[in-house]
Amino acid sequence: MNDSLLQLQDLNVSIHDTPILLDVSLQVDAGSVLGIIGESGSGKSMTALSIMQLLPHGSSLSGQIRFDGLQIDSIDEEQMCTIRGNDIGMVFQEPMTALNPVQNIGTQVAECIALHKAVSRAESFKQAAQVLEKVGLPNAQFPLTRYPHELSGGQRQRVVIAIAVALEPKLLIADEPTTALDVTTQEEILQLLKQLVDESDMAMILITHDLAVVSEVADNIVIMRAGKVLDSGPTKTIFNELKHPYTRALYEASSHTPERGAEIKKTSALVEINSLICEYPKARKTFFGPREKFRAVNDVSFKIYAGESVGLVGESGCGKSTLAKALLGLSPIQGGQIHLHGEQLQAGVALSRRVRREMQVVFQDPYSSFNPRHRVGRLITEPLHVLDNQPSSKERQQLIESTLESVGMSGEDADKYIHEFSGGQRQRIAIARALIIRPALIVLDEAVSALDVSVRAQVLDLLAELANTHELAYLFISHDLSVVRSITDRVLVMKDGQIVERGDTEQVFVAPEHSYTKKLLAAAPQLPTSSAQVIGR
Amino acid sequence: MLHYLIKRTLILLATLIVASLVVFITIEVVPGDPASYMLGLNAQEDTVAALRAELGLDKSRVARYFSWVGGLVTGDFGTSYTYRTPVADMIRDRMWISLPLAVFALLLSTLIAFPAGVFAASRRGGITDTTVMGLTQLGVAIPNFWFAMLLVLLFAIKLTWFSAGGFAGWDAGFFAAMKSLTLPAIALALPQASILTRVMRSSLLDVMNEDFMRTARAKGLSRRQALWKHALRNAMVPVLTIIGLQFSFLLAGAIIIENVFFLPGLGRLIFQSIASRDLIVVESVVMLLVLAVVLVTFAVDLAYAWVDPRLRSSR
Repeated sequence: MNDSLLQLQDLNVSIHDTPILLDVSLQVDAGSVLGIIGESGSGKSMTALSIMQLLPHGSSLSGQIRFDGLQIDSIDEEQMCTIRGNDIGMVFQEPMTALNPVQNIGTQVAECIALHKAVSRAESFKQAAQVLEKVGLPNAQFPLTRYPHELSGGQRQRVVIAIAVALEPKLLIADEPTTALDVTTQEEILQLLKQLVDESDMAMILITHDLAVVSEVADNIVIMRAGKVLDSGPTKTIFNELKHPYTRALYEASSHTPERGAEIKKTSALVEINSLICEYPKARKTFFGPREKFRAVNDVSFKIYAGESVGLVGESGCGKSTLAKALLGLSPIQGGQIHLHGEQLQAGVALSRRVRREMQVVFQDPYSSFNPRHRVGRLITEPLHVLDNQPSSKERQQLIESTLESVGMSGEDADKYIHEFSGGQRQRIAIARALIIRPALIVLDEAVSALDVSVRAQVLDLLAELANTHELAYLFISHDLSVVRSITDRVLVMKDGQIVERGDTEQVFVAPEHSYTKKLLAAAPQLPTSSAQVIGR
Repeated sequence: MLHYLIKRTLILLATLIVASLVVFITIEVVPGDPASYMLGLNAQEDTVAALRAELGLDKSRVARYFSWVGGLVTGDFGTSYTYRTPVADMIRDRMWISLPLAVFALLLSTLIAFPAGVFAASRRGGITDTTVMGLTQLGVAIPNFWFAMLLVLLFAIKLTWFSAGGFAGWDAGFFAAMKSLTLPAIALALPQASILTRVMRSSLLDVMNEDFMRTARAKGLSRRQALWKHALRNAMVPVLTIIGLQFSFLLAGAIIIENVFFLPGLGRLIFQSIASRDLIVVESVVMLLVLAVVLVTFAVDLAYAWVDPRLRSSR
């Protein structure tokens, strides 16, 4: 027991007297990987920050943190600075913001080396180059003088990893290192982390909300909820037995398939898109002359039938959001046609109210897509202005109530402000806003990506139910393949502005034809099958 | 980078052209004919006409615009209607007071604001922070002419360290000249320093909440090291913006302070010229100030690019 590299014993943390962690105990052996799983607010990140002694202001900590024979909870800040970065490295969730935008990558990696080792400046840069090479950023392609904004998300995460492992720490803490990345990039980063652990006797704590990710990498698992450790043990045992009810609930939610109605009859196309082209002007290279154009959507054609749920998958930058915007009339198109109910939409011109009535949208971020100063009743009735016959105030009131109820909220919620709701509730309100004028099509742009698995399962159920009762068609845009598989009839796979594969969802997932689809599916982390198989699957 | 430079330069030129048009047209619409104003109410009509011809006021507007702009470019700003001396000379004399005064005040303000802002931000919520914030609140609230009079009362009348007003002239030596600019510079710098401190502090606090600051700490940097090495440069963009604006303001906006200290600066010149319908002086001084503002903006733009590499590529 005492041989563990890291041991937390009865750790309690509170911030301004609000308890955040309650009696957390866990241990990590040298060279092993511990997965910490939990939904938002479970305290998994706070556990990591406690180990780093980087808790926010106003936190108080009790209990023991032993690391490599040291009592971390009681050593002073100066000594802690010699441990951070040297013995414990940390990788964060957001690679886009985790690097200093005004320093080049060489400086940032070398800084860590120079800080802990008595080496010359030149030597620290030489070593930085070696570390960057090790994490897959060869100097020939990625010189030290590159700035973070010149790198992609995955490349930036490699730089952050390089900083964390530059001094070959004994422990690497990775807090949601792949959450913000595309599936294929996620796979590469996970492979890199695994490889770094395998090559040395470095231990790793992998914090994530994604069971599938952790199951691929971790030796042991700790499951947290509301600041407590609920379940822990070797990865295999945890997934095989699903002993704790919460573990089981998480597992079920992660592989949740909502019940969907009978297959719809494809009578007439609701939306028909023909050879759609969308272009952006690129940043100017020469001062005079035309600007080069970037073709975000290149000759895309597809149909959506009434009541049908169509998935659109692809990695960031593939053009899926541009396509959605063009469909909604929010961005101009440079070629092709969009038909709704057989009527051609005027590209780039404000859509008529009649068209607007037919299509609504739900965005990814339920936090920032609402005006925080309006009450829910006003927020969800905003689309009503496109109706020709404005409802009376009494009808309006009834409409608010019935719509809120149809998304599982209550009529009383209409008087509240958006900050009073949780993420899942906000996304329900966003759906209510889309639903209130009874559109024929709702575009869901990564609408469940920001939600915790259990909340996501509920929202997916709601969407499936609404599709049945309201004959709604969905265009479900997501990078999350398992979600798309669970809720769509057909799927379109998009790459570099083109649709490379299309077909019935099951068909595409079971027997993908295009090499890119195969690559995507192979990269998507898989939940291990549990012998304590879940009822109803 | 070259692209950025060319673009900024073209914007600079375009701004100057538009500004010259606006200045010229505005002056044209303002009522009051300089010739009749100079000759007084009882002047004969043919005398006024003769003077108008002499001043070139009888030519077409387009012709006058081009001869004015042409003069500006070649350094010939024309002759003052009132004083009958070359405008260029008048401006040069005043410039040698206003420019050093503005630089002096800005230097003071920056030298106060940087440490104060960093200090307050690094001890957020502490006594130092509260004190600094309280003082800046006071600094913004106090009218600078009143503060100027307090300075005169204390340092000129009571302690007699400085003279109460007037300018010693650069002929009297650098230190004598700077000495007569010291009290005005302090009076000008106080509100500017207060504003700049607050901007510096809030900008730093914003940056300190960024993810990369956490990365810096996870590397093993102490709070202080992280602040100096990572936060400061990132916090500079809003601060540079304010410094740019302040310099432009100090150059021309010192009019009240110039009056309090009897300094013959640009602010007073423009004020007097407007009062006496000396339009050619007004036009030239305003154009000069526009040039100064545009140049400062240009310099600030270059500083942005120096601070933030993201601005160097493209755009």
